[in-house]
Formats: sequence, C-alpha cells, structure tokens
Amino acid sequence: MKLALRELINNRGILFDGAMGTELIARGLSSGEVPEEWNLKHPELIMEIHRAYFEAGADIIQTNTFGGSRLKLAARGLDSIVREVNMQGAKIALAVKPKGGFVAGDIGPTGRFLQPVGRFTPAELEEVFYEQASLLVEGGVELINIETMYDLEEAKAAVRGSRRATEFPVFVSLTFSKTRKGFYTIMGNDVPTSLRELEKCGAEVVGANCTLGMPEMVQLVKLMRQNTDLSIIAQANAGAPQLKDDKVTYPISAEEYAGYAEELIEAGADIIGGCCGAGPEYIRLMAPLVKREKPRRKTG
Amino acid sequence: MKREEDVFEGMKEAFLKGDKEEAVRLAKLSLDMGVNPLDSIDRGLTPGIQQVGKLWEEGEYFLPQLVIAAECMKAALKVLEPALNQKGEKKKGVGRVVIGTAEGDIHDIGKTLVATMLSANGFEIIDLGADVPINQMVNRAIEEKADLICISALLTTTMLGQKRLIELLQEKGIRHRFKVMVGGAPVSQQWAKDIEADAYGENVIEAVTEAKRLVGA
Repeated sequence: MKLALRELINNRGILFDGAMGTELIARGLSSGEVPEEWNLKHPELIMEIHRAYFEAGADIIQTNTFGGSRLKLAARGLDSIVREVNMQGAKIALAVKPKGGFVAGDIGPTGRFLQPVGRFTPAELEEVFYEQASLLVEGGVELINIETMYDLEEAKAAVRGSRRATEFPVFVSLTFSKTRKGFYTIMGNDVPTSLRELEKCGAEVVGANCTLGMPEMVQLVKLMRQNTDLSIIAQANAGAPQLKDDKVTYPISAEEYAGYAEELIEAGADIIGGCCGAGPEYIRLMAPLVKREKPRRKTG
Repeated sequence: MKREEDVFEGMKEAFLKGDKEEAVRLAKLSLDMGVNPLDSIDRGLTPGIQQVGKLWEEGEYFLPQLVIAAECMKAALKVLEPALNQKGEKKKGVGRVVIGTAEGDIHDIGKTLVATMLSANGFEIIDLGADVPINQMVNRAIEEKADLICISALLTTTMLGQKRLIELLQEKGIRHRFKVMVGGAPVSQQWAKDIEADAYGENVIEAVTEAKRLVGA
C-alpha cells in the first residue's frame, strides 16, 4: 500500500482533500463542540464529508482527528477517549475509501507550547504524537499527515513521533505568515531552516497549509521549492471566513481558487489540497489540472 | 548613581533582550532611588513593551519575544505594586475589560498577550482564561460592569462563539452596554463587521489602539 502511494507521487500530481472544519460547521457543528467527537456521535456525517472529497477526485483524504492528540483532548476533559476518537476516525474513513484512494491520519498541534514559552519538552510532545500516530496506524491509515504546525520544534516532535510509530509516509505542513520580512511561522521559524530540519527528522513530504490564500501560497511554494528536493504539499485558504445571511462563507469562489492550480504546480507543488473554506467543489475543479503526469524532477 | 532616564532606558533594553531578572532588578532600583512607580511604568515599562510590539509588527520579533516581554512586564509590575498601592497612586482604570478565549478553544497566548498589554496601558483586566462558555463571559461582564468584552478564537470552528456572544447580548437587551472586540487567526475586519462587533484587534498592538478608541481614551 505504501509503495503504491510513493510510486503515485513520483508519477503524477496528487490531489488532497479540502477543509473539514468548514464542512462540519455547514452540517451543524456548534461553537462549543469538539469536532473529533463527531467520529463517535455522527459518524455518518463524517463519512458523508469523506465521500464527497473522494467523489470530487481526491486521491488522499484525512481522518477527522486534527485535534485528536491526548493533550488537545485533555483540555476538554476527553483524553479518556483518545483511542476511540482516533481508531473510529480511521475506521469510518476507510469505510468509504474507493479503490485507488488513500486515507491519511490527520495530526494537528497540541495547542500547548514548548519551553520557554510553555512548559512542555520536545520529548513529552513526541510521546503524545507517537501515541496518536500509533492509534491511527492501528486503525488502518496508510500515511500520516501532520499539519497546521506553527512551531517548528513541535512539528519536529510530531515527525519524530510519527516516524517511530510507522514506516508509512509522513507528510508535514507548517503554517507560515507573510510578514514584512518574508514568510515566517508565528514562532519565527524561516522556510529554509524549517524544511531542512523536517527532512532530517524523517519527513517525506513537506509543505504548508492555512493562513495564506492562493496568491501568497504560490509565492511560498516557489520559496519552498528552492529549499528542498522533497515533494511539496500546499493547501491554501479560500480567504478569511465571513458571515452572510447567518451562514459562514468564504470570499474566494471555487473557480477563482482552482484558477491558481496551474501556478501552484508550476511553482513546484506536487500535492495540492485545500484548507479553510475550500470544500469539495474547490477540489473537484482542481482535479483535472492537478492529477496530470509530469516530467519528474530529482526527488528526495 | 544612576539617573532616572538611565533606569528607564535600562528597562526598555531589558524588554528588548527578554531579560526578566534585569527588569526586576531595575524595578527594585527605581524604588530605592525614590522614583515614582507611575513614572517607571509610563516611561520605562510601557515604552519597553511597545517597542517589542513595534518590532513584532516589522517582522523582526516573534511570539517568543512577545511572551517573554509580557513576563518581564508582569515581573516588574509585581515589584512596583506594593509601592503603587501604598502611595494610593493606583492608576485609575482607563476602562474595565473582560477577556477570554471562546468556548471550545484552548488557545490563550494571543489573548494573554492582549490582556497584558491592555493592563500595561491602564485597563483593568478580568481574564477568564480559555474555553470560556459564552454565557459565562456575558454574566461576568454584567457582574464586573465591564466597558469592553474581548473575545479571541483561533479555529474556524470556535469563532462562531464570537457571533454567539453578540447574539446573546442582543437577546438580553444589553448589547448597548458593552463594546465588543474580536481577535484571533481566522478573524478579520470583515468578520467583525459581519457579526456586528465593535472592533477587530488584528494584533496585540492594534488591540490596544482599538480598545482605547472604544472607551474614548
């Protein structure tokens, strides 16, 4: 299974899924709820979302386990169900997987900070990520996707923990902001250092998601391409959320968003998906542009 | 013997270097020298943290530097507090603020930084922490007779709590009693407008500027 995925990445552009939070809110997730609990409370709705992305053409979809680490769940008093949330998250995604599709275990930040900003050590966080990755792999996922990491050190702990848990591919995306001095995480990590260190930890695919819209993401991918030989994953936001007629909407349409796919590929993105606001329609419109054979660069 | 100006300059330097021990040492020194603690705050501590904020805006400083500067501020203020209270010179609050992160959201660093900066700028802060149920935020604002409610959210799934807060104030017929400022990564000026908040705090510095504007300071 894992070999097939690696071969696929080498042969053509890969389509990832889009936003989960956006789709949950559209289906009634309220402001106080823990999204990961829906794996247990409303599995049919989660399966509906996964199915929609596969039908839109996504090669890889992510489990609904973004906030499913023990530490993140503990803050809401739910650490006792860390196993169920992750195992069930994997199970329901696999249940709707078509032939040729792949399920990635989604791992997001713990919401805690490493010393000196917070009180945790890299070793402690690595254990938390090792646990979550192990559960997702036990549940049957075929790769691990670490995303929305705003702290390089936490991202490294996640990669190391995932690497210990599995030989399956480990993808990692950081969240960069565009400052007056260039692209940096909120912790101050720059692109070249980040990509180099993540590769050293054992990440197979590196990239970015969230905060940035398509135009900035294109610029960022160009910079990432200059700084790594690994395959690059990019997932931009469809603008910032707005409220129209009492519904959460995003200002960038699917057509406008997908219109950037060519540029993103040209900039060097190998795997393209969507983040906040980019639902199945966004993914569907990008599919024919992304899932194309292309001349192979030297890959890592 | 150091002059006042040297002490104030030293405090600013300590903030820029993130040297908490130095900030505390200089706060103690200022008291020994008989410097009015209010002067130390206005001319030493506040410019120090404002300079850090400026460097953050320019893309030179990042979250760790902001956090450490906030800790320098807290530590120095702790040293000055007894003297402030003793002189009865506690600065009259520019405004009362109830602040917290929306229900379901455990992210609190941005919120805590805003609370520290507002406090440094003369606001009285009631910090409810993170994952605050919306009706609790409203009830505390009523109890504390707050002027301003600040609500933060980092996730698309929790920012709806900001909308809920304003709806709840409207339902209770008390919307006019409070100014509401929203902030957080997915939040924007447009969102603030859409949900009928009074202000959007794009970053820690903007949050202070907006807060002052809202209370007419």
